[in-house]
Amino acid sequence: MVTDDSITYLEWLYEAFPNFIIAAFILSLAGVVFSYLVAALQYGPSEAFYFVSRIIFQIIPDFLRTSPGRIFALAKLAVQETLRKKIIFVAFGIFAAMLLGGGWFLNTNSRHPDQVYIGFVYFGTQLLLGMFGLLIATFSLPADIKNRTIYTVVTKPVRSSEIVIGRILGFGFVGTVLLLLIWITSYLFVERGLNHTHSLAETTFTKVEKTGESSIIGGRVSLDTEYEGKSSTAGKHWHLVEVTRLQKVRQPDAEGNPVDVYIGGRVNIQVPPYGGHSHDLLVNSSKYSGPINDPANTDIRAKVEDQKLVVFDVQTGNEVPYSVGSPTGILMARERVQANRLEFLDRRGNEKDRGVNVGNEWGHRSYIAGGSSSLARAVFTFEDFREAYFANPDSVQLDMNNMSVVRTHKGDIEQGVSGSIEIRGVTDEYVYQTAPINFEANEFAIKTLIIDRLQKNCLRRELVSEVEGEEPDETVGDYDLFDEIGAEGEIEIILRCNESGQFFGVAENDLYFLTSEGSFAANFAKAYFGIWLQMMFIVSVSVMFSTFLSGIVSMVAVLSTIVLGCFGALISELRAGIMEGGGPIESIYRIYSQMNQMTPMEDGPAKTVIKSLDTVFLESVQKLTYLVPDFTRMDFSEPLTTGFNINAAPFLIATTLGFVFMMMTTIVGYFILKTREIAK
Amino acid sequence: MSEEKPAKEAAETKLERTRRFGDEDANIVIETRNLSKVYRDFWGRQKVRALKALDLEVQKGEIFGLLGPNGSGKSTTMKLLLGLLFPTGGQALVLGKEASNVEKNERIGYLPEESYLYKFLNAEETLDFYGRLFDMPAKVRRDRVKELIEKVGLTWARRRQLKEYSKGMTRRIGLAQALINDPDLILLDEPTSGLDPIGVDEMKSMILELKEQGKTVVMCSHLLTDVQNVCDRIAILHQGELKELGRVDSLLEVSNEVQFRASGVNEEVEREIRAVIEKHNGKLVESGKPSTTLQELFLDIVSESEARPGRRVSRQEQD
Repeated sequence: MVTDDSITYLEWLYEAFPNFIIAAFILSLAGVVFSYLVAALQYGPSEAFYFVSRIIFQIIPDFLRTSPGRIFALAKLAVQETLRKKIIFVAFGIFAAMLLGGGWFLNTNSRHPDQVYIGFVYFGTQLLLGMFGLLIATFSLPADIKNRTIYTVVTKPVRSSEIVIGRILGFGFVGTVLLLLIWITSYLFVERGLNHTHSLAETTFTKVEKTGESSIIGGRVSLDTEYEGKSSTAGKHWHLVEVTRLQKVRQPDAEGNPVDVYIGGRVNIQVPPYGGHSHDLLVNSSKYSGPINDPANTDIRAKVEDQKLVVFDVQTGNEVPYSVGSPTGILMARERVQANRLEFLDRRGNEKDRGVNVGNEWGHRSYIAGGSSSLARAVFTFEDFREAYFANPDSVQLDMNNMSVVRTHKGDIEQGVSGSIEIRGVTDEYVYQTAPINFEANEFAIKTLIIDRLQKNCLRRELVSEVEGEEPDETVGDYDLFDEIGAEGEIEIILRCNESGQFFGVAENDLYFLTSEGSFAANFAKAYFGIWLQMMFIVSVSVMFSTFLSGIVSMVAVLSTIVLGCFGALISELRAGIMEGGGPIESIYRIYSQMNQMTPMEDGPAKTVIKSLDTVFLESVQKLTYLVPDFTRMDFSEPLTTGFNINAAPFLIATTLGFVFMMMTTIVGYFILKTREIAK
Repeated sequence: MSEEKPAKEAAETKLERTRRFGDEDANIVIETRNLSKVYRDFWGRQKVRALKALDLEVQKGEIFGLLGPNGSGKSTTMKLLLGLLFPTGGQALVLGKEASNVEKNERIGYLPEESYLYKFLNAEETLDFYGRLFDMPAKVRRDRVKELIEKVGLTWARRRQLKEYSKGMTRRIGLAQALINDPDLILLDEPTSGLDPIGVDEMKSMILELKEQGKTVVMCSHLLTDVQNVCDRIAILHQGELKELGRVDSLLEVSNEVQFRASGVNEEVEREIRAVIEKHNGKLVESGKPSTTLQELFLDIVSESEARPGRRVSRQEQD
């Protein structure tokens, strides 16, 4: 199975384009038949035929003669209407009030304050822009028709297409201006709300009494830590600051001559106990400026004198000024390579589509059982794994994000559950499999593994396909991750749980390689472009419905369209039986009879009737979902809040969907306005 | 019915010719044949038959009046000609094109009954907006806006939003928007509705001025004196049917009576005239002092008041 996240733009286009053409053709045909039936009631069958065919033949000339000048005039009118009625100022005022309230109540003392902040402004913007687009676009044209101001417009050489496009562009422009204001305000709110620093001037450093254990937080610290202290409080939190033991050792240089080298004397500002961000200690000397822990910095070191931190140049002994930098690990836009497939092996090593269900019927993760006797594995396949993607290919970072751990016995609760991964690659001649890379996994915490390019003790087995009976040649050695193991651009990560009675739960997106770091500001802009697409879609659908419905009915119709757009995937899953619990009738029956979703219904006429009714309902709704875009594809809140770069493919897919459906709604709106009588 | 109503065959030939060749009879601006409109409810059931088989021709350069009581079908006819409604039967050609054809609007100006304009715009913005709808170049548009605002006497209020305008001012800016494209055909729906007597007089003058410029004006009204004063020809509709069509002067002419109007006639002369009529077996229907209309009296007083502000104008003084 290829996930939507990993699909390329061209693959999506190849699949979506024929479906779209079919849906557009069916919609056009249905529109023509509907128009003919309505016209036949008014004018009789033969006049109706003449009426509808005349309009069909006018579509292309009308669009060809569309005047940009008139569109501009109508768009400007829509802008003037919105500005003079002060709607935009009210909307921005509401947003500003929302931020003021949010500033007081948002909890920065959490594991992911960036997610709280970004999620708040993003959802707020989505809601506000959606309502704004809906309200200005659904009521305008019906009001024009009701007040008859439209009479003075349609009696000018104005085409229906120009009225529809003009309104969409006008309201879209106002929405865009509002979005730009909100985008700038939101960025400043997030940046300023999260950007903070701490001071170490008042910090008292004490010697670690027991190696590897902190007396301040009662948890673990680095084995090299000699002193520890508390930073000042900022943003409702403080950090544990560790200073590692400074040592001078004599080592041979490149030519073999003994030289004095300093090790240690580094400063680690830990993430708070609940997780989240850390800071770098920045220094600024004539020799070096940047984080004190940077390997390129060889001469600037830290020590503790009179319980105070001193940063100095080891060559001259002079003190060097230092400061605590901005938070690291938040407001990120990380690039990642995701798995294209996830398959499972059960306890006996048989291939399965899904793993074990540990009881949560709504969970999308599947579980593998642990233990030395269990052959259960989760196999992630990366079909496009290339060196060029990685900023630092010598040691690549593999993240296990939110991998679920389920314990059937407590074990050592201080310890994570032990697991391992192996990397497998197949070329034309050999199969490579690395030695297990062990780790400890904690419940819902990101586990990061650094994987060296050169994999030691890797097994290489010759592929024997043609000659039967010949033993394959097996060697154990050091092999290159990119040039040998993944020479074909495809690797598998085989995940196992080592502890008996414990389970690892994974989904396709839980395991990925981090490749490089992008710009958070650019990512923020891309995510807000998604909101712009959503708003433009709402505006265009609102204008389309308002060509033939009254304001309030148009609003209901638009909201129904959005619901269809948001829940298209859910309806597909319900129809396909992937989601437990059945359709609406079955759900009502289950609620009434207090039956949970997993319990199978008893066979009989009641089941047949309920299932049949649900099938008809879900099939009908499913067909309708083809005519509206998947609204969730334009929602980039997930990658933005979790700190991942919004890739080109989903961005282009959302853009294409948005523009194509805007075009569709324009055409439908034109056709309806053209065929309806403006006067009563 | 009038003898001016064209024969059905002739009308068919003209319409067919226009449709086939796309040309336009230079003198016929509007032509309808069997034009009918039935209003239906949501389920397609007939609610009302608003217009029944209307045959009509409007010549170039004339002022044509559509008369009738409320609900007679005159507004429906106007809307059908403008393409705001689609006919249930029959056809309507305006400037040689189907009424539903947008291109005909290039040469049309329309003043709706209530001057349905955007209240959040001011006079300049309103005319600029409508000018843009005709793709007028910026320079031409600016000049035309200025000229029309001066023409309708709203220069002093050109920057005020229309929501602050009185009804009379709204009618004036409404007329200005109808003339923005210097149209050949102007359709006026109740043009004097809501205007004070001065406004009515000015509106009538403007309509006559348009005729002098060679424009064709079609107006519908139920204020008969307005129509009588300005229209060349009228059509009277009742219950959706055409009841009368012809020139105003010939329709109003009482063919078996003669009217004289003279000044400087004393009682003796008057007696002689009566005797002459009796001598020739005629019958004197009415004689006496003629009276002016209230509208004329009102306009005289207002113009006198404007010429000599602060003084009370008495009827005797005027005489």
